[in-house]
Parts: sequence; structure tokens; C-alpha cells
Amino acid sequence: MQLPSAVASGIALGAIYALVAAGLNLVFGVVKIINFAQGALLTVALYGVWLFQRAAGLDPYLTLPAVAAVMAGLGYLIQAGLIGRVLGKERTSQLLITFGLAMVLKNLCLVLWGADNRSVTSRYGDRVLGFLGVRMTVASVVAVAGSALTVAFLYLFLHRTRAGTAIRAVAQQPDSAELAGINVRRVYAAAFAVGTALIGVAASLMAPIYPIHPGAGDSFGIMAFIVVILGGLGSVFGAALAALLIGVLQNVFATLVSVQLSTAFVFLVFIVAMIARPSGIFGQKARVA
Amino acid sequence: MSLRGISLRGSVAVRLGCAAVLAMVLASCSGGGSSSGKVSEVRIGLVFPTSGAMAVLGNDQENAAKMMLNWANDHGGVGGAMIKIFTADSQSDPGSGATAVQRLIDQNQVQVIIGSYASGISQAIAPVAQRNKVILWEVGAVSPTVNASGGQDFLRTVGTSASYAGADVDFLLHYLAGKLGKPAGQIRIGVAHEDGAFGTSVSDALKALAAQNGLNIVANEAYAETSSDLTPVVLRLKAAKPDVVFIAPLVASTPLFWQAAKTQDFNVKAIIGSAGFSAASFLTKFGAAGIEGVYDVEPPAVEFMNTTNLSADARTVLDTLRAQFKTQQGHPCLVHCGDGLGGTYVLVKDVLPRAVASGSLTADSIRAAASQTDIPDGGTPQGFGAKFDAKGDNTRAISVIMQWQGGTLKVVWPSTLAIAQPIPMPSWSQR
Repeated sequence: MQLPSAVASGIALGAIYALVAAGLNLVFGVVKIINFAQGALLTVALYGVWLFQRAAGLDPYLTLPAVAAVMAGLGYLIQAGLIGRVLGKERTSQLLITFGLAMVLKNLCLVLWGADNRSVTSRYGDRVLGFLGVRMTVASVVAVAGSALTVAFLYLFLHRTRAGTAIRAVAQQPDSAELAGINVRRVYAAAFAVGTALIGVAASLMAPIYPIHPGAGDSFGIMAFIVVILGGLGSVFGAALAALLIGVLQNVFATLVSVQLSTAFVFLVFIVAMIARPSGIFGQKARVA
Repeated sequence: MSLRGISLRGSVAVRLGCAAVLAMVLASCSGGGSSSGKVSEVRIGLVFPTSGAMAVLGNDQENAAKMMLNWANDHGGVGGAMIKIFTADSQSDPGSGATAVQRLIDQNQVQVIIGSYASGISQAIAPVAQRNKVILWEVGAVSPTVNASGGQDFLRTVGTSASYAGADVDFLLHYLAGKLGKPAGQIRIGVAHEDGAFGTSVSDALKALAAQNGLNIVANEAYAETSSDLTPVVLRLKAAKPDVVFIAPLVASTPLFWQAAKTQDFNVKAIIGSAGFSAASFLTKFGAAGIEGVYDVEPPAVEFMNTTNLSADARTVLDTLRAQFKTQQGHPCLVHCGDGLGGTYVLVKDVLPRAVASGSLTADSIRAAASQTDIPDGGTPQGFGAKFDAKGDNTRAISVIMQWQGGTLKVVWPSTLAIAQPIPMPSWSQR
């Protein structure tokens, strides 16, 4: 029963990666802003879920709209006040500014809420479901379903809405888009806001599963970059499939071969894939999502 | 060349010579402490992680150590010499810890550093103390790789990670084997550990003790503390069908492991953890029923320890200071508070008075005083004794087995310190 359980837990892990990568895919994959604060923003959002639950006594899933809205506002401010100033300049400026932002956010969390683990409880999230010989918590099943819905939302947003079309236009040809009457600065800010709101969605679905502490988002932030690049920049379904692939490979390798080498294995797969297909698995087919 | 030029050069030379002599005199007054006559003051620096990722427990160790130093000052000092306390934050970072120690030595001329909570920080601090001939009095770091070279200015009161393994095996041999109704050699043991210095040192010590005692380790799983999912660890352990599991995690991985164990319905007769298994967040996350019967191995949580077998003085000091700690900090004096309190007790009650009485307070005199330390078991607030070996480690330090019972982490082994009897660990279906 090891292999089916490993695959099931890998799918759950991959779904988490896909959730975290969705927002980054919009910001980095489509709009091409190198956001190294992705992990730190996830940490802030997790604390947001914890605070909302403490303040209102809500089940963590019910905090989703509020956390997403707050994160959207935060994302808009970050883009307008910080990243917007270095758009069009060297990429290293974006990298360094977002890296610095990550340090500030993490240490702010440490100062405000300390280093101790915080936890968020859901009345039914810890219940275990068994089917076809595998066992998963309700929280993991909800995360998988939520991940699928989030990916679908992102695709529809980019392809079926005027805002999404504008974002894609600006991502492809910002000068032409401006000539066509699109307010480029506002589009970038909206894209960052939506991307950060998606981080809020991810946090609401992850909070019942993971302990919350100032470094909680770090490893997920790194994995989000791997997933977005492996899937092909801007490819929504590519990133989702890459996330599932990585989650399953990581957990199956860990279960059957070695836990300690599983992360190294994932990075090895990434390196080989990038050598074989530099644009990502779905990079060429779905360049504009 | 004029006579006036020669005179000027001679005058400069004299001035330079005086400055050099003055510098030598001042240098002899710093770091190494007073060297002759009556000692009226002892300058002690506390270096703990009071900010950063380790701050929660680092603060407990520092506050407890400070409390013990203040208690000594309130009771006549150490051999008549009053303690002057200086503090610096290692910021949960080895480099910052080393810088903090150097600053305390340079600016405050401390003669002893009490630290460090974490092995990585202690490893960075120890060479600085050694270089400056200042004693590092270690009350919290447990990795045997700290001071592996055997520097003479290092003294550690708490047991190394080998003591964790020792307590695990002692409990297995003298209690669990009887409850399982099997010879110890037939008990299947699963081991899991974070792959850093702490977890690896505990695992290595367990392997060595298992080999000595003919025990059967059927699985040994190392994992990164930053892992996002510990289901594979649980699946591999489950496949090995252990009777008992010893796990050495840090704080972050503990809830992930326990949730994975619950999800995969991984049941064993006993799980003995450490670190995160004694954290308040473990109880908060899973509730009392969710962790009922789970064991933890560490130096004792002194709030929930039997003190009747302590010496009268150790018991009096412990009763007074753990009540004071609870009032001041708002939570009980547990493992790391016990480390700070108990470790500093040996310093102020035994070693420093002897060093002060020698008439000189230097690293050498403190080390010489420590070599005469011979406190029997029960003679310190942590319940064990104190006797330092050539590498500065306390050969009488032990770790104890504690168990979550009704939401409280109680000492259950050894019997001299136990406040409750061990209870069977329920299966997941019984929780």
C-alpha cells in the first residue's frame, strides 16, 4: 500500500505547489515581474488567516474572501509604491527590491507575532477520509479541489475577461498596448493585485495543514518558481501539471528510495527538463496561457 | 642632524614606549579577569537568541539564568563577590552570536559567558571565548561537536545528545520491554530524525547504544526540517513495522509528522520525541486527547518534576525560582527554563565561590575550580549532579522521559524524578 499512498500524498502536495504557483504565474509568468517575495507574502497571508480566525472565530476556509481581499490591496500597494518604480529598468532591480521586501515582511512577522508556531484549527479539516486504500485528510482534499478551481479561475480570468486580455496584451507588447489606450501602469498593478489575492486563497487552504511561523512560506516560494518555469512561463495549465508532477515524483521517490534525497531528486529532474526543453514543458504550446 | 632633532625623536620614542607599556597593562586587565588579591566583582555576560527564530525558548533560558544570578546577588554574591550582569542577543544566528561575545569581552570585560541554547551558535561562540581566555558556560546546546577539540575554556552543564539516546534506551530496557512482554533484543525500533547537527547526533548515539545493547533498529529515516510533507517518513516507518519509535525533530516538523502519523493511522506502542514534542504549540494544535501518552526526552521540565529527592538547597532554590519565573513570564518553568536555572546554579553555588576564594578570577582559576566540582545526583535543580570531564562536559547530566498526560508534560522516568507513572499510549482509534 505504499505506492498508492505515496501517489495520493504527492497529489496533495502538488496541489499545494500549484496553489502557491498560481499567483506567481500571473506575476512572473505572464507579466514578467521577478517576485522573490512570493514566499514571504504567503507567510503574511497565513498570519492573516490566523488573525481573522482569532478575531472572528471563523473556520479558516471562511476567511478566504477577507484574506484574498486584504492581500489584493497589499499587492496593489506593493506594485504601485515599490515595483512600479523599477519596471522597465534592469531585471536585477526587481530581483533585489522583491528580495529586500521579503526580508522586511518576514522580520515584521517575527517582531509582531514572535517565532513560536501558530496553528489554525478547522472543525473538520483534520478528519481522515479513506478511499481505494489511501487515506487523506479533509483539509488535503479541500486543497486539491481548491487548487483545481483556482487554476480554472486563473485561466478563465486571463482568457475570458477584458482585464485578463488587457494583462496579456501588456505582457506581450506594452508599448502597443499603451498606444491602444490601455493604462499600462494600472494593468500591472491589477495583475499584481490579482496575483497576490491568489496567494491569499492559497493561504486559506493551506493554513489548516501547515504550522504558521515567520519562515513558513520560504520553501513554497522556491518551489513556486520551479513549478512556473518547469511548466512554461505564462502557461496556467502547464504550471498546474508541473506542480502535480513534482509533488508526485517527490513523494514517491521519498517513500520508495530516500526521504533525504527527495528534494535533490526534484531539482535534478528540473535541471534535466530545462536542458531538454528550456522553454518549459508547455512553454511553446501555450506561451500566452 | 641637529641636537634638537635627536631630542625630539628621543621624546617621541619615550612617549611610544610609555604608550606600549600602558597598553600592555590595560590588556592584562581585560578579558582574563583580576589576577591577584581579593575578588570583589564577577562580570558575567549572557548570550542567548532573544530575537529571531529561536527566541521563544532562548528567552526562557536567558531569563532563568538571569533569575539565578540575581538570586545569588540577593544572597551575598559568590564568595562575597557581587555579580555584574551583561546581556547580548545572538539573534538566532551563529555569526551574530560570535560578534556579541567579542563585544561583551571588549567593552564589558566579562570573565564568563553563559549561553547559548543552540548548538550552531555555541559552536561559533566557543572559539571566540577560547581565543580571549574567557569561560563559555554552556547550559543549553547539546551537540557533542561543540568543543570537539577539547578547548579548556568550555564547561557544559546540560547533557549532550548522547544523553537523549541514553534515556531512550534506558527507558526501553527497564520499562518498555517489560510492558511489551518481549526481550529487548526482539523489540523493533524505528528511528526518525531531522538531518541537522541535533537530529543526526541523537541518531548516531542511538545506533551506538543499540549496537552495545543488542537492540534491533529496523528503520532510520533522516529528513530535512524544512520538508513540506512527512507522509513519506511515516510510510517508510510503517512499512518497517516498529514496536516503538524514537524521533528527533526540531519544532517546525513536529506537527507535520504527527498529522501524517494520524492520517496514515500509524500506531506503535510508544513514540518518544523531543524538541517540538514538548512545545506548547504541540498541545495547542492537537489538543490534549490528540497527544495523550506521547513521550518526550529532554532535560526535565522542572515545573512537573518530583523534587522530594533533591538536596534541601536545590529544592528550596527551585521552588522559589520556578514560582517566580511563572509569575514574571506568565508560563511555567519547563525544559529550557530548567536548563538556564540549573546550569547557572552550579556556576554560582559551586564553581565561582571556589574560584573567588582562590583570590584570582581567570579562565584558568575557574577551570581549576570546576575540576573540583563533585555534586551528587539530586544536588542541582535539574535533579542530576555535576562533575566535569577533561572536555568540560558534565558526566552526571541526564535527560529524562516525560509524557503528555491530560494536557500536562510530566516527568515519568527515572523514578527518582518522576511525578507520575507512565501510561499506555492509546491508538489513533482510541483518541
